[in-house]
Amino acid sequence: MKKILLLTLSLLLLTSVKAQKITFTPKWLPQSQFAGYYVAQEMGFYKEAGLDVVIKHPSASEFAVDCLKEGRCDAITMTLFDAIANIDEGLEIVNVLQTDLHTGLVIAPRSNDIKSLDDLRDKRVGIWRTHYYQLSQIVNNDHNLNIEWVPFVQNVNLYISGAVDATMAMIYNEAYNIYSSGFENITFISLADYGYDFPEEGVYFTKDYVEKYPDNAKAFADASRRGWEWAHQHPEETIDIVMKIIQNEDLPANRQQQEWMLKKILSLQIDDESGKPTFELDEEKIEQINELLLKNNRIAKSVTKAQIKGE
Amino acid sequence: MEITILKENETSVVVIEGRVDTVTAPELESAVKPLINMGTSVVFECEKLEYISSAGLRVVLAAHKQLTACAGKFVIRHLNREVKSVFDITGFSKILNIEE
Amino acid sequence: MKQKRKIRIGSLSAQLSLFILILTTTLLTTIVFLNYNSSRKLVREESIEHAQDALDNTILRIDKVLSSVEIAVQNISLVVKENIDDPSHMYGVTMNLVQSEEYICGSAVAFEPDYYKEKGHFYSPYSYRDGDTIKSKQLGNKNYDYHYMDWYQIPKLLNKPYWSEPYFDQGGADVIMTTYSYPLYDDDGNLFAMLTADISLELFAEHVNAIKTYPNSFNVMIGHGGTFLVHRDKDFILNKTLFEMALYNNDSLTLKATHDMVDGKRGMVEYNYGEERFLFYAPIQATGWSVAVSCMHSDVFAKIEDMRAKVMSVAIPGLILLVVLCYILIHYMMHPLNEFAHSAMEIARGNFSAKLPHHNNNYEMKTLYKSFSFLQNSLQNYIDELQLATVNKERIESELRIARDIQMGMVPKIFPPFPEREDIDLYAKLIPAKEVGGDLYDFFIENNKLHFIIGDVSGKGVPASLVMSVTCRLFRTVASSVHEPSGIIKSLNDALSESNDSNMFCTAFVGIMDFDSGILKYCNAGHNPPVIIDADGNASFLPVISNLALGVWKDFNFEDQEIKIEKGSNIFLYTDGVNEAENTNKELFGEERMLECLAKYHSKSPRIIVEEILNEIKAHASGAEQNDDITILCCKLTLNDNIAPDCELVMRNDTADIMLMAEFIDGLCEKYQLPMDVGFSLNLALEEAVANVMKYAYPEGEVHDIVLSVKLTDNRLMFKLIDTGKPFDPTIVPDADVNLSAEERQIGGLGIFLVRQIMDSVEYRRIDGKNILTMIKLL
Repeated sequence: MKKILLLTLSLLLLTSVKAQKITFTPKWLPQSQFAGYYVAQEMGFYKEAGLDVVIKHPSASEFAVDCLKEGRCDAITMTLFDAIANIDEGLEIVNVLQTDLHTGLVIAPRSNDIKSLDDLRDKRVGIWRTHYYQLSQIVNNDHNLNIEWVPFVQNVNLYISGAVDATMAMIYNEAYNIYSSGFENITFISLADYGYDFPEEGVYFTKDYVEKYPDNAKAFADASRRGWEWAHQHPEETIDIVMKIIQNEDLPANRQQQEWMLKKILSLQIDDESGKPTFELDEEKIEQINELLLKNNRIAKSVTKAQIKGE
Repeated sequence: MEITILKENETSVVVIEGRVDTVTAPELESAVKPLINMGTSVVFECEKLEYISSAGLRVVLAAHKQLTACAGKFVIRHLNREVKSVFDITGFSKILNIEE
Repeated sequence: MKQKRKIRIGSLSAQLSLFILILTTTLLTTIVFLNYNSSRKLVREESIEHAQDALDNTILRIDKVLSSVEIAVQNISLVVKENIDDPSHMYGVTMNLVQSEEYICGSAVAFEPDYYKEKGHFYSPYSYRDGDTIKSKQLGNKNYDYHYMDWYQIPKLLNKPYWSEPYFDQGGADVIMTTYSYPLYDDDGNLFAMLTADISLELFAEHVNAIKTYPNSFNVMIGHGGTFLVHRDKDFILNKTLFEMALYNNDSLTLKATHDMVDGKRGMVEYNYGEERFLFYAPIQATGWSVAVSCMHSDVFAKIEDMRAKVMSVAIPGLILLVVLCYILIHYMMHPLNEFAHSAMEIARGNFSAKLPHHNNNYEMKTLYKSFSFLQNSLQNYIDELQLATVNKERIESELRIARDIQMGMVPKIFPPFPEREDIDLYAKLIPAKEVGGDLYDFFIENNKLHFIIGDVSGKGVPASLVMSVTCRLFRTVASSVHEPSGIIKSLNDALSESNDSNMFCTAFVGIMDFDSGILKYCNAGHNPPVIIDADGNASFLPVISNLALGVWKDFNFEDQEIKIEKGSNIFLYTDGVNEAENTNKELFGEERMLECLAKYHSKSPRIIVEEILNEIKAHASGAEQNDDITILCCKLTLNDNIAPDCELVMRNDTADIMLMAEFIDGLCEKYQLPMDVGFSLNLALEEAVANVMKYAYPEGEVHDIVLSVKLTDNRLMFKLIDTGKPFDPTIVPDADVNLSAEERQIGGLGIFLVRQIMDSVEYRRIDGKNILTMIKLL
């Protein structure tokens, strides 16, 4: 009897000590964009890695980075662009996993009369209130477009109502809404065609956390990566998981939209040469971003890969 | 011509072999003559008779007449085709007893 | 006789019934089809109208609500402007607005950032219904920067009032709201605030869902992007767009319709996502949304389909009934025809008095009956007449046949006619064109002279044949006493000329051939000159004086002619049926051809010459009918007594030598390949002949020769028994009577009887002190 009690107690202690709590705030509301993490959660990859992960989505007007800054969460997703800009500003964050190797940024014109960046000169273009401000400025300056940016919060009503001439969109997100709102014939202008094909999302912890709990950070990164790889192999089941998560948050879930999103997201993770997701940070791309930011006086000095990686 | 006379019960069988023509007819006549008596029965066995001319026919007719006259019997047997036709042409078939 | 009622496919009843069925069905089907189609169209149009009406109704109601909100907001905007200097007054304003309209559940006056400096960045007084009360608060804050909300930004950019796209209310789940934003401008034309009124879409949903058109119909409302605002499936609301569905189903029609809806058009589209449906849509002008009604095809056309089913259920049994009745009726009416057919069969079998069906039920049957009766009678009469005519014809024909036989009997037909004579060979043929003819020929030998005649009576058939027979008979009679050809001719002429009422005449040629002198005396009476072919084959016409045909002029003076005939010549007599034989092209055989043929075959026997000429004529005619009697007589004069025999046997007049003869005959049989029965008969016949000679020809005791010679010519086997004894003609001995009884039979006479029976010809001649007995056996 005594022995059993002792055993169970120690086991409990062990397990309780073992499971590390991590609060993870993806960049946006629940959607296939963050499928890998949901998979890792649902399939128990985090648990297997000894982590107790809470995925807390930001509210409509919240910034994920603010959550990180204010300690409301431990890890977030962030674009590389923003990461470099933030690091330059002094934010101490570390990239533990790079998921997107390409950009999904496109510009959706309201009519096919606008075919190139030049056609956007002096036009009103919608842009996310909370993201891509830096990049859009750079594009504006590089091509002398004199765009009037109109920030939108979360949907494409700005575009549909005709209040803007074009809008920034994510190929995996807003692009679908635009496509299925009667604009199925619109040709998107891809920023990648203009040399802005930068890797996008990655998982970032604070430098502090990584130094304090390096194992946790690594475990989280590995399990998350595992989740993404699983998603590549089982897209149908991944959608089921995503739908469940969305419905749990009491949000409207459109399966067709999530399918589109997952497909696009997964494609952004594929390395051109090997045809597989590599989850690697490309040094060259970092250089390019640095160049661009420096040129446009967005950063004071280059941010190295080592810095980003926290090495 | 060969003539052989056999006795079968009460009948005299005259077996004629060969040709009965002008030359040989008298021989036949003399052979037959003694056989013709009261009530005798004479048979001409003609199986081997090859040929008969009018001389021979005369002998036959005479025999027939004599036998009939003395209530005897006269039968001619086994005429071959050609010889029979002679009997037919001459109408002898009608007046003689010809047996197959 | 009543026929069994069988349903025959080929029967008139069946055919007519079928025809009527087909016609009626086609007609009915066409009518029904047209009717059905136009009904469907009508129903379709009606249902479209019906649905449109329902839609319009609803839209009107919705529009009413929307415009009342708009008006209320516009009115309040004036109040806002009036109280612009008192920011806190705005709370009251919003509260008023909410109170004024029951549909409005919230209202705000959202100011531009820092419009009221003291109020800060997010001054936005806001009132809202909370249960039965109306509460107020500040809408915007750092976390809720309304300046970037659609309801603020879009009307600001568009510079006009704006009904926002519906959204889920933050406060309560499942409550869909829309906000009417009314931008407020200051005197400089700059926007300073946005006056808003929130209304719940629930009431819209109620109105929309109140449209009831058909049992299985449902209603939707879609927004600017095609988003479902009202839908029976809650998951669709604000979650799916109609564009999505159309694109997913590759439905270009619905895609276009959705575009139309979003563009504010009204219309209708047919789609099929599982069931066939109509979608009627119409716009809500104020907001740019669109209301639509979806009805099932089967509902819309329910009544039509029902009607069609009813029509079918009546039509099909009706048609069947029609066919059956038609069949029965027609069959009944046509029944008499069957009976007529039957009667016709009876009549055809010979029963002319067969009874005809008498039907009075219609004009056609009556007429048919009359015609049939008449036919029956006519047939009977005709048959009777025909029978009579046939009997008469047969009688005449049989009499003609007899006449022909009589006629043919008049001319000599046995060839060779003089087998015992080697100095002449003769063959003749008469082929009449009809059963009886007008040609004639005749010949006989008397006193070693051949008397012959050939003639041609004018015309053919029975009249000519009568003259011919007279002439033939006359010739025989006259020729035996008159020794000059002209004399014979004259007698014939006299006879024919007298009482020649019908003016028939006869050409003739009379000849007398003297074998001793070799001279031919002749007289021609208008006949074709004969042809003489000499031993070398040269054929030429005998020079004749034509004189005049017989029967024309009684006192005509006919002239004799004479010519020497050399050994081996042929005399060829003919009538004009030979040289004037026609073929189908009416071409004549011709004298040239005749001469050619005669020259060709001159060395053959007369029989062969005649047969060959006839073959040539037949070949020439090549199927054409014989137009005239053909008569040919050909006579070859060998004039040669001394023809060497094939073989000879010399015997002594001793009966013993009969053996020799038997052997000799055996040898002949072998040589000539004679069958056994022929050999036997020859043996018998010759023995009789020879025995006779041996016994009686020579005086007793004297030894003399007897010669037996044999010659085979064609199929003639000629024996000559020659002795130098006293003249004795065995042929004058009468035949024995073979029918006498044995008693009555004589011994003698049998021998010669047998010889005559066996041999085909027995002739005795005494020449130069010799007895020559010529016996011919035809093989």
